[in-house]
Amino acid sequence: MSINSKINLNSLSRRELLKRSGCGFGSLALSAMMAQEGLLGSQKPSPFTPSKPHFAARAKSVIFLFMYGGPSHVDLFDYKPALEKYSGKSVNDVVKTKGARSAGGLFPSPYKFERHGQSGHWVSDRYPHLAKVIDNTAMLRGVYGHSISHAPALFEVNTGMIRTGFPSLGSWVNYGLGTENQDLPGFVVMYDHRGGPIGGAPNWGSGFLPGAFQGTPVRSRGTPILNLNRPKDVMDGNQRELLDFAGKMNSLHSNDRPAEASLEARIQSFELAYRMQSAAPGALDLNKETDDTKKLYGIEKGNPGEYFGTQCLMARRLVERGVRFVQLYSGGGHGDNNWDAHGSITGNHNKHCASTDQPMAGLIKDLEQRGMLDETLIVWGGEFGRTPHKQGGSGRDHHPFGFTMWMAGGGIKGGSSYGETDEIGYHAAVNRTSIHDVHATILHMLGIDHERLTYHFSGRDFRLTDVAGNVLHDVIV
Amino acid sequence: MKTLIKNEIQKLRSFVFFLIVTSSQFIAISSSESSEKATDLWSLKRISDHVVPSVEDDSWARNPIDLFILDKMNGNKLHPNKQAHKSKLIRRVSFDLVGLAPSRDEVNDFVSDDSPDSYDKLLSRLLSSPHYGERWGRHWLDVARFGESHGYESDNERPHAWTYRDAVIRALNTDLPFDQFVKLQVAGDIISPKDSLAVSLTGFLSAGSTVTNVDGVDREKANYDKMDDIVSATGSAFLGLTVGCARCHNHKYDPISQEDYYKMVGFFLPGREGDRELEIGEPGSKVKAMVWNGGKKKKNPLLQRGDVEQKGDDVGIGVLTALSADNGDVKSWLSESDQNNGDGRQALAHWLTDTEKGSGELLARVIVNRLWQHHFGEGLVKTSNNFGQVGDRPTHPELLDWLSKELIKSQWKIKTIHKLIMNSSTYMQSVAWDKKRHNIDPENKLYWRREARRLEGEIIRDSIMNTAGTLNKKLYGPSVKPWVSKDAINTGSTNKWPVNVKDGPNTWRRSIYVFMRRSMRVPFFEVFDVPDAMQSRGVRELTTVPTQALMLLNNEFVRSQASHFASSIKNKLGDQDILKLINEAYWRALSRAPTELEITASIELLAKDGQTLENLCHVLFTLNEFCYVD
Repeated sequence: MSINSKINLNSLSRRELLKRSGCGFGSLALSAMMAQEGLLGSQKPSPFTPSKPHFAARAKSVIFLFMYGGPSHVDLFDYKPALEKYSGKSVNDVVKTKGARSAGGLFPSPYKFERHGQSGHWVSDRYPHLAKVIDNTAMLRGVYGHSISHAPALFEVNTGMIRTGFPSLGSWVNYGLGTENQDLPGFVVMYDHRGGPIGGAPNWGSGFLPGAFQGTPVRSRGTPILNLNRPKDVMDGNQRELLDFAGKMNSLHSNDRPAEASLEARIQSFELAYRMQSAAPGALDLNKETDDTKKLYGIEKGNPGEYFGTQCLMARRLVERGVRFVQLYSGGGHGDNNWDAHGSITGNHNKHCASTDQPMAGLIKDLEQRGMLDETLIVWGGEFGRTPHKQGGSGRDHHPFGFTMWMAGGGIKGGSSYGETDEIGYHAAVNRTSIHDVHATILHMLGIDHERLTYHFSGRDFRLTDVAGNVLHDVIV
Repeated sequence: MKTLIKNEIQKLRSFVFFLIVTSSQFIAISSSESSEKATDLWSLKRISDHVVPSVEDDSWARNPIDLFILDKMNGNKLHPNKQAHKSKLIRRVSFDLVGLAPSRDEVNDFVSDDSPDSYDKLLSRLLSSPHYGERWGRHWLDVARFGESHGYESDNERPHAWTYRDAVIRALNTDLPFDQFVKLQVAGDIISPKDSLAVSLTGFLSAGSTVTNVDGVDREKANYDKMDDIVSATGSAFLGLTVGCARCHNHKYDPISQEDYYKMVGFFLPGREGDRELEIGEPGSKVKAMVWNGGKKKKNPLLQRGDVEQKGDDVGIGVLTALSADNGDVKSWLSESDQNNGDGRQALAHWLTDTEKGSGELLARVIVNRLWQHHFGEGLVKTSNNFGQVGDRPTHPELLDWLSKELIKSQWKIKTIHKLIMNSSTYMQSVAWDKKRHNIDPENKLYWRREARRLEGEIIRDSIMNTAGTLNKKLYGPSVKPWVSKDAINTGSTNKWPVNVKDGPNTWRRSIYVFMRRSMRVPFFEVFDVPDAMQSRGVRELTTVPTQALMLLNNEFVRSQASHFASSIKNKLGDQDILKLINEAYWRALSRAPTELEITASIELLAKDGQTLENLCHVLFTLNEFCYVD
């Protein structure tokens, strides 16, 4: 039995992987990976090896700001003065609904809206900092989804499907492009300090893609990654030897169980963990940032932006180091701990807007100052918007039929917009934008043709965008 | 040309798939208008008497389960694996039933026992081990969203909650009939007020999270959140139904009306969570237990849109109309005085378990599916907490019904079903794999092979200590708080975990006895997918991420266990005979002797500068084979 069986096994499973990746994109990945393999000879190959995109990429990495719970488009970016006119009227009197489950009257936004910047984007007074950099954003005001419940809606925004079991956007990107930094996970998830989103890990899972592509959650309070330091009585070289020993044993074990993909993923996870020990502490150490930078993000004790600002700044440090995809969650757990403003829009959104405003604006400014904004795509959105009509005392219900997302940086045409809802913000009415369209655009910015990024599973070639998706060329430079 | 055709076929396939997906999405929207059309839901139908199928070649079958499995498999040109080797089988069975690896002697005794009933004896021995209740109790605690603190911001501790956990373990160990187990969890205090086990099982109702530190209208809202927690957990845990979805409106997919929901609330609205002194454990020893304190009949308004400020008519108490012979009415289960005075929970208990007039048949389906799930990794219904429209359909509906009938016939004895399942060739087969069969059924939905299964976070921790020889196998009692690194302990306003705990036999307990603080899960559990106990959980996530590897490589607890492991085998065998030490280490960690190759590799490793027996012991904890059982 050869000592090199680990390497053989890895190559085998990579070949298997490449075979599954279809003809289009796969061949690109194949050549890149094979070249890498040949070049590096006996060194350990990895599924994360960076590969060339289909065409020139605008963005190298993505920071996805996920507002979990459903931020209200009509109170933040989609100004609807007509709600004043119809105030208190039944929504069914104004638009044809799909069965409104909360039948409160139409409810004008309690917030003041103004146009900002050269673009004249409407922004409510909850986002004073963001308003100052709003010219960097492309507003997608006609997005729609398919589920009125949190979990399926989260799954749709994260995987393109309302059911579980499908790979997340971040894992598709990692599968397609690999990652620039082999010492950090290619896909990092930081959830809110109050808890994770409903649905949990499938939101950043790899579905039927190999497990190694799933998102790695890092802790959102205290030390972000625990156990990064080697035990005091184990020397570095010795730990490497132990990992090699385990790798050999694990590959022998896997040889008899070629179908268990999680075993291979586990082998990869140990290799990555080993490399993270030296790379991650620096990447996540905010002490290396100046006070001015921290202030820019609103990171000051007691400041509402303290937590989300920390996440945003860590995200910048991660993409700076070549991490491909970072997803940050604002809002966690249940009730008003996230954006789910059933009882009171002001009671809920005042808090969450304040905690995200300065951090998001700081992130855009900071990336711009460092010349990184052009190559970093920022995506903002929740799993749905909120109803233009009232629920409870002064809240709004879930609303997937028309809502807002925005993008910035990474080749996005700042100040542009695409899509509109109807006069009360109920239906996406003009240039209706599906989540598949949003995904297709994100992949496009990364240089990936969403129709050619495929994975063969259970008898067919799967795509992130299923059989749909149009790139939103109107918002691209 | 060929490629062209292939492309067209591919497109067609994609299109068909698109239709399926989009039509299910269409349902998601269109059915939001009403809940009335879903009355033909499979899981609400009566269990039909399925004849055990006969197959041409039944030589593989050991019991009727195998015939159901073979029947589906044969139609697909598949054949199952042979029985796993006995040395593998005992490791599988031991982890499944007690969550601990078999000792070297246990393996050798079983392998060398040629008597025809050796396997049966093994099952009986393990099923009567008190560790059985610990292993299977943990599965139930997921479903019961059991935690030992209130959750949310302040997250106050519940120092007496452990009594519910112990009651669950005891009930399982004594093979309390499952219908009794269910009844007592919703109304043990009424059904057997003098029986401390019965009363402490009502801790089920109190076990969920509670919003605290609220006043005025928020307090009432918080109380309804508690009601929702209880109604949701009751629906999910016992019936696999998402009753909680009907809080603000009729259920969007399943036949559960908002009125049904509030009638269920009616059983709990008069009561509240509390503590009561009970005799638990040693005779005469009184301890405070977490219980449910029922109350007197109370006005129970339906809350329009779930809003406490929009109170509708008093709906009283009642059960799900779709699963009731009396249209949701429960009077037949209550005496006149019960109807006028009590909260009526005994009627709920009867309805849940009544196979004629209530939801008993669904109850049986849901629990046998859970048993199957924990023996095979996935249930016959994959979504074990959702038997509704949005949940999965059973892969083997006839088998599910047959097993449910067997449970009811056996007077709801869970251990009978364990034996039945574990005596099947379906369960006993090996993990052998081949490409041909893989291509026919890549996901093994038809059970042509056994799949290696990853141990849960708690069991990995238990196994580390068991291997190291440090595990304190003491049963029952108040929860313990083992050492957690300072980095992990929240340094915010309140300390949620003691700092600088020194680990020792007191904290080296089975993980089921580790304090479950909702806002501060022990990082070992957090990283290995142990749920957060905020709601009933049927299926755990199963992630593989580098933070798990870091835990096993670098965590101080794991490292110190490796030291104990090394000293323990050195104490037993001296430190001269390296072969013996390697042999013992492998036996402890993997229930088998090392191969020639493993011995050579281990010796080579130990010969390197700076390497120690401790390191070899440590690396065994990290192996795939340590964490995955065939």
